[in-house]
Amino acid sequence: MLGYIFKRVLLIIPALLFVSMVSFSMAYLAPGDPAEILLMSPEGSPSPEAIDAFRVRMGLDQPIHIQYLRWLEKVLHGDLGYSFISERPVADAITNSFKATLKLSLVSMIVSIVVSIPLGILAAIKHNTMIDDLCRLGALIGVSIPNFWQAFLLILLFSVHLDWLPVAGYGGGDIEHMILPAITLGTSSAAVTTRLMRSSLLEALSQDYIITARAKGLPERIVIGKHAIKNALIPVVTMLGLNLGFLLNGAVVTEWVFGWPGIGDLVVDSIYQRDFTMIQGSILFIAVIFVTLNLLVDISYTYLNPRIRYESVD
Amino acid sequence: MRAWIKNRNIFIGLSITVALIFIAAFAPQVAPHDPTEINPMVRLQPPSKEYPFGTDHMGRCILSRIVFGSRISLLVGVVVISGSLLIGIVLGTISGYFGGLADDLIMRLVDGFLAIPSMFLALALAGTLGPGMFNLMMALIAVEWTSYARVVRGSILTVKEQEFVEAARGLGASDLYILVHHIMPNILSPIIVIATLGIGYAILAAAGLSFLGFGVQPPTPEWGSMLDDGRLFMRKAPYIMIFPGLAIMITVLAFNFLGDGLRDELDPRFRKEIPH
Amino acid sequence: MLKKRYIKAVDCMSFRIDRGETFGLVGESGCGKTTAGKLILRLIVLTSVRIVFDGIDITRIKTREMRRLRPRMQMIFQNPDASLDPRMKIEKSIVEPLRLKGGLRRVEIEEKVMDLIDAVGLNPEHARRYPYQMSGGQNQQAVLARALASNPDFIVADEPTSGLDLSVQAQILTLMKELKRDLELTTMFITHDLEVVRQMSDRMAVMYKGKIVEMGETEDIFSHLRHPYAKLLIAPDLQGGCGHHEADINGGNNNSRGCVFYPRCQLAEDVCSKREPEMMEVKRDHQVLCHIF
Repeated sequence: MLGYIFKRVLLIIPALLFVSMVSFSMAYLAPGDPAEILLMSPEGSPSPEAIDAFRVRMGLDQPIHIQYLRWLEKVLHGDLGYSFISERPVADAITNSFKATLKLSLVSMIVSIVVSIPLGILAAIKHNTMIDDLCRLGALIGVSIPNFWQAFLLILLFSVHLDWLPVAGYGGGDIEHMILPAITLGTSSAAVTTRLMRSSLLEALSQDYIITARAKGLPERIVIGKHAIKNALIPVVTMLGLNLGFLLNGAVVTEWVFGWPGIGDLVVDSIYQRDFTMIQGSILFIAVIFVTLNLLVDISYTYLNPRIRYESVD
Repeated sequence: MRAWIKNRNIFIGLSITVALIFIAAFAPQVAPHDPTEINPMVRLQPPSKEYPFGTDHMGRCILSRIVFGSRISLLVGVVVISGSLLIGIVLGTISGYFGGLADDLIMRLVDGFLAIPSMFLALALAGTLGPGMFNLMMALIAVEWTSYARVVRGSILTVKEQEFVEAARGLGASDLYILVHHIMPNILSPIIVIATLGIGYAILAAAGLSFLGFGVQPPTPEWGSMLDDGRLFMRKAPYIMIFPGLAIMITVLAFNFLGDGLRDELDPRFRKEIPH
Repeated sequence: MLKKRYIKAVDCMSFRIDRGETFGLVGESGCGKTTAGKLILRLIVLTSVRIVFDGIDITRIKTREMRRLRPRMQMIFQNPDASLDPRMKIEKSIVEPLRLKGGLRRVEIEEKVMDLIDAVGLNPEHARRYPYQMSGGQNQQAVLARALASNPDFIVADEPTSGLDLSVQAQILTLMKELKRDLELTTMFITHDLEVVRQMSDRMAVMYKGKIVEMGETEDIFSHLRHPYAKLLIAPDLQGGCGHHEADINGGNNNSRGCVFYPRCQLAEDVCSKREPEMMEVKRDHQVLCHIF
């Protein structure tokens, strides 16, 4: 088991290295000289001296691989540099934003689970009826609906017309401000989980031991409740790790629309402002988090499911 | 094959898709007005007989813009998926069929790309490459190819071990022959399914990125950027963003229906065809 | 941590098959007979083997040359449903070797395919079906047709009748005997079924854990069994199946000295655990791998 963990950790390293290179090169993919763009002001183009001074200050005058290595070294020491725009530490901005994203994601996850598991169970029980069809349609819609549109519809209804909830913003992270973003963010995750719960339960219900339990004369509720659902939940729980991807991806647009100061919002803003150090740092950060969490999910999945522990999963 | 039409999902998905293709192809005939015609006199009109979906802040007919926008969305979807498929199939085949060092390298590359959540990567790429539809498509291809490479690789690994492949080798077939005539036909099913679902996803992602301002630039009518336009007028003229969003959803739904239906059809039949 | 463990499937085998004869290879599941069959046709490649086909050492030639030789040696695999491409109609599968060889016009190919279909006992309408639409026996007939399409000199048949109903088995075997006679085929018949090997083969070899333990003319072997394992195998109270052997194969592997059958041999003597026996000729064309005989 430890061997497996060790191997998996080793495998991450090339991926992270690649990510660091990608993050770093973000600044250089952009057309135009970053220094020139940043220093551009209403008075006109910046003078060559100003550009040079800026470049030296930001370390942009070195050859690219040197810059990369310097940057990497600093990163490994936890120094992600300073924002081009605000000249404040990137790392601080990122960690603050990430806390906000974490909060929102957690609530979204809860919303998603609370909705999807009962719906999935309902759909499976009422297999092949109108209710089942409705649930499946709902799930399909949940996956197909653009999150920015959903956000607007919710805002339109609850904030503009009904005036029950605030339109956007963090508001100190209170429930009021969290509801609409959480619903929006949790939708696609809920949709996928509903379908999974449904198919998982359907599969569990067709197993032999269920037929045995029924034959024993146990009441339907116990049959379904105790045996089938318990077993059906296993793949769903393990798949919750996948939902991570949905949440993080959805966060980009959702946070921005609702003005929720999370890391998605941060990345969008820093791209608008061409704050390259911020872009580099946040991409790297989110990748590291993503990879680490996936690794943890993988390991716990393998732990819970001994059958694949000894097979090579490639 | 005719039985496929009986599948409800395929039927719905295919119908909507065909309708979309028709609308896109005959956009000039279908749209009541010129999508880029600016007319300040009629700005922010609610839906009426003259302008069935109303007009936007520049007086342009929203319905016409949506009709022409279908061209953009379908184009982006198809191009992105084609590009991703091409790269994915080539790399996936090398990886899965020939294995060895190439496999390791390619898989590490895939891991690298997958380390960054797709939207962040697409955003970063689109944002830094600069605006424009081409850059948008490149960014999305860079994000999407990994899924196809993996699926192709996995399918090939399974099929490669089957006896009929060994039998073909025993008959004297070369690797290339086996790949083209035996392996490809047998891995088509999963590829078709993910490609179909992928078009839906690509359209969604493209709309999202355009909404944020990366990608298709005004005055090109793209559904996502139309929503962005509508943001400021949410109270006064909500229809500016309601209709484009609806268009996106229906389009993506169509491909999801189709993909789901195809998956149902192709999967159990595949199992039936290889007994034992 | 990263080392793989190997079990020797085939170990020190040496035998000869004459033109026109049917050579049977028997043994229980897991003793390496399928591997042997694939090795002979160079479907599995090992450097420490030497295979001579009609005077040509096929272990030393290049892949391209080997490909050119392949039409002359064909294999029939164990599972007929799996050895046909599920996406190809039967007739396409049968045609394939002809296409690969090249050089025939379309009319000639069609004629040949019809002949083959007829020769193996199928109807033309069968040919237009897919493997999943046919029974195991019919699929095996198709596999036979495909194997014969390239006019091979030599066919390796790996358990061609296992998994088929008894009546169908008899059909297939009769068919194979006819074809062998009509087309003057040389065959290697791999099976665990002793009745089959007795029926079909002129000469035979008994395998145990990758080694040949007794070899000679079939009738001679059946009437004058020597090797203790062969006796066990062919004696009527043998229970088939792999259950025992998993344990054996894993345990006996460590013993690299002495006879491979030593742990189970009832007649074992001291020398049997110390030295590996060599193939000894006990009669004309009857060899045994044992110290005692």
